[in-house]
Amino acid sequence: MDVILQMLSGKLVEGYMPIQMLWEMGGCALLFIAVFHYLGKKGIKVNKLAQATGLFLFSIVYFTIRIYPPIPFSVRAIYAVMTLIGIFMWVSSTNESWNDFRKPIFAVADGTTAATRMIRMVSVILLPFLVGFLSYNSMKPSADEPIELRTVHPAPPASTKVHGKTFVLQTSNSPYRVDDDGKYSNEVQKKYTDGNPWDEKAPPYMQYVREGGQIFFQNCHFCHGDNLNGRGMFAFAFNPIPANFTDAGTIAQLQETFVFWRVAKGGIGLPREAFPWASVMPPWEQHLTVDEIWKVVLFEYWHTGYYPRTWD
Amino acid sequence: MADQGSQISTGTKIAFTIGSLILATVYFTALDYALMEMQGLDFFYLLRK
Amino acid sequence: MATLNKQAQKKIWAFLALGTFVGLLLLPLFLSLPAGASGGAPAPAASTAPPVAQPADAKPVEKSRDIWYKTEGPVVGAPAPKTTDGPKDYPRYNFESRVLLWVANQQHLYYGSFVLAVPIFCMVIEYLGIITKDKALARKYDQLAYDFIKISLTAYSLTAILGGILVFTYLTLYPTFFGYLASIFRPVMHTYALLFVAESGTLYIYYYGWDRMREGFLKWVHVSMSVVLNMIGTVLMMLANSWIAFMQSPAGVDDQGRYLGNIWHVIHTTLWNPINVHRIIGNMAFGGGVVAAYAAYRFLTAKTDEERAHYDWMGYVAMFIGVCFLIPLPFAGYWLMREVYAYRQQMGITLMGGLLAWLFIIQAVMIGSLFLTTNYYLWQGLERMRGAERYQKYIKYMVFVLITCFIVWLTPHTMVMTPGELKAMGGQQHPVLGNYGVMSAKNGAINTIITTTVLSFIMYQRGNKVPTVKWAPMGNAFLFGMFTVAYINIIGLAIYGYYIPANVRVGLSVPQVATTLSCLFIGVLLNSIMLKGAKELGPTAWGQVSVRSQYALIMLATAFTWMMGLMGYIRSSVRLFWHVNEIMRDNSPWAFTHTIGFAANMISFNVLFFWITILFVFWLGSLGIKKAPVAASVGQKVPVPAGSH
Repeated sequence: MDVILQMLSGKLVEGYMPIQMLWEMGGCALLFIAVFHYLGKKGIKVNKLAQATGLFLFSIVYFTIRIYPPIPFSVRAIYAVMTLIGIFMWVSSTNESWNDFRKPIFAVADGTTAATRMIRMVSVILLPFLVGFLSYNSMKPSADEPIELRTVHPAPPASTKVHGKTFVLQTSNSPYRVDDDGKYSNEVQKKYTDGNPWDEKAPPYMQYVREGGQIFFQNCHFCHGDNLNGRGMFAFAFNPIPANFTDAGTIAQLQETFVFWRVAKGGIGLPREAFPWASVMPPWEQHLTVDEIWKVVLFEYWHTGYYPRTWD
Repeated sequence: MADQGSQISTGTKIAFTIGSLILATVYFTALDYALMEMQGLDFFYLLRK
Repeated sequence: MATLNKQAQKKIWAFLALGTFVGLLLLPLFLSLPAGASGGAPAPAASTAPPVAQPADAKPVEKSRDIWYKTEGPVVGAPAPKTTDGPKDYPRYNFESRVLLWVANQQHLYYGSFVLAVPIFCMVIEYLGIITKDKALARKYDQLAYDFIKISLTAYSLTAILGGILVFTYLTLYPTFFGYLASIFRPVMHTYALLFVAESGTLYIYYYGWDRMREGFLKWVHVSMSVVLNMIGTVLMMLANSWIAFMQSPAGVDDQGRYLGNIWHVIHTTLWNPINVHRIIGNMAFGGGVVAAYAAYRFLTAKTDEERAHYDWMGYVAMFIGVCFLIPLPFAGYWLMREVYAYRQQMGITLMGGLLAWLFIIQAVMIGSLFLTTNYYLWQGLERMRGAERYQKYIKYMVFVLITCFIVWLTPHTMVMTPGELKAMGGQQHPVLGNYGVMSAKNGAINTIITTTVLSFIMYQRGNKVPTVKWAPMGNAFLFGMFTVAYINIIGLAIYGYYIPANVRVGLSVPQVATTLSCLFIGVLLNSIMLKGAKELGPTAWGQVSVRSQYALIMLATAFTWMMGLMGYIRSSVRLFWHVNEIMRDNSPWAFTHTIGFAANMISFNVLFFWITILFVFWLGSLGIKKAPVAASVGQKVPVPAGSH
């Protein structure tokens, strides 16, 4: 209830933002339809071209201003094109609406009245300028930074060698993701989601989580943050900032062995595919033992509540 | 889509609609459950926590 | 009585002829397979010398382990050659050999899929014509099937020509690699060639015998011949698939690439069957698209109302077939992808998350546009029915749902941005849109799109009809309830996926798909039953449809072609710098992966080239037609595919 009130007050509510955006778009669309329906009932017929233009401009404003942090231009461009396609499908869905949409355009082209002739003249004069401006803009040398197609999660090698031991990424398991009897278990994390790592009598899994946590706070949290959200005290010295483990798109998408490999090899161990290698994470195998790396990975999953990806 | 059926009263229509909604809910929940079970997964994972 | 006897005799002869025919067609298969199983050892030697005597004085047969099946087998082949960059292994023109091969391959593939798909339609449509009681209708179906096969006949010879060009390109530009492949697949390649002869023979008899075999039992023979034709075609394609599947996921050889004598292992690699299924379904969708484009082209150039009516109808039927096969296609693709992951996780990640992930985003755009276009075509189709105005007011809501889902569907997981934008966003993942980038959201979006397409189709079916069955209100209420709950279920499962571990989440896609399919089957079936004997508000006026709908058909076909080119490129380039994955390395200067822009341009070039040549084929097809096709006059009842009454 509280969440809905907050949403209605125009706040983007943490944890609900993705669905909130969809709801807002739906609400705007319904409002838009209702307004023109009402106007139509009152006898005020708004031309389809005007409606379409209004809707398009509104969508641009919505995606540019409403969503924070700002959406990159490439994504906004995709959204704008999609909106345009949608608007086209809507106005041309029936012959009646399509004719209504085209009427003002034809009127201007034909120049039937003094006003339309005026618009036609202005457009004919302005059009070359517009084209000229566009070509000027595209030819002008730009000082912008180039766009980077960064592969955040590159394909891992089939196996990786850490401290002289070879780990096959597809088949290896964390030696610490174990049930009370010491056997590997996918279910153990779920069992101890609310476990207390500080409990002296805690099961082995929770003990390992605690040890992993200690390693994390001695080594990792300066950058990855004490909430594991990638906003540690040094985080903003880097661009891009360190990985945010609480995001659904990072460790939640990956196998535990993948994370193990990345931690062990660091930014310098990224494969060629991961151009432009925008990571300064040290290769932790130079500072931690194999066991310590497994434990810290275990802790990261437990703390964020995400589960490593498995293939069965 | 319930825009036809002239002789039938509004009450009956509403009853039909509610009935179908319930039927569909039961069907889809059973479908979800059965298909997850078939893969050896637990559909009510979150509830059973 | 005498006449009856005569007929019975005729029947027996027909059966015998057909049996002999099939037997002769299968003969090459039987002949070549045992030879293949012995690893292509010289046949005469094997038959003259007793097999036991040989190993006595010869040194013991070297055994080695199958790289995939892990079985032991005698080494009979040479190891995969280690190539070096130079005129011996990679003779070349002053041009990138790989690009030449790319064009040759793609063009052969386009025509190949077209000529494999069209006879399948012919078979279905001709069969429909036979079982239809209505004489006029039956003639129309028959004529349509004949039209189809006529187009494919010219395309068939082009396929053969392009196949020849392809082989020559291989032989001249990649002789070492092709030599290796041929040494392993020798019996398969011969079988392939022989089957091609059989395919041609069947096709010509099928085509030229059309008029001779139009009545009675001979007609049935004719239809069964199309079954044989399609069986040969499918086997042909599967044999060709075995080569590319071997290149991607080799089996039947040891880790040096030495052939181990079991031809079945070489053919039946782990990716072979997923590729087979994916390609068969894909070919059908593609064939439907091309025929629909042909009909649209003829519609747009038509001079009379009769022609317009005929080609409008033909376009609709072809589009219908294409979309029917489009719907299972993603599931086949999903299976293939799963098998790729199971074969090599590395390969899977390179495809979906790594180097080639951007191409998959383009692929997503194309898939989305296919569904949008289909919906648009169906909505435009409402224009040709009187009484369909009732439904037009719902279009805007459907547009909204489709576009919103499309926006989610297209939001990339890794966004393209300048370092400045990256900084402003405060991290690689966007807190709002980042959530649209993961599989959960994508599954929800695409299933909603497909369900909405089904809804559009149901709306189209109802266009000019009002159900009169007693239980119509109940049926309507049920349809309403089912679709409402289905939407809630699909979107609910998508959201649920964010709260549960990955292995359970992956499983959620199955009930989501099942929900979509439930809507498709139950919805369309119930609707069709409900519309039996429905009151018609007005006739379906074929031909009286906007030109926009025809452009939509052309767009659909172009999207199919482009997508095929793209997916083929992705599948092929995932081998990276290998000719045969992990067995034979590509040491030519062109072992790198092309930039996305270059690849997209190449695909576009191939698409353009294909469409220009196929326009020529269409034009050839139209040369033969002196008179206007048999067509129902405007407004007369004309057949539509089953289920769309």
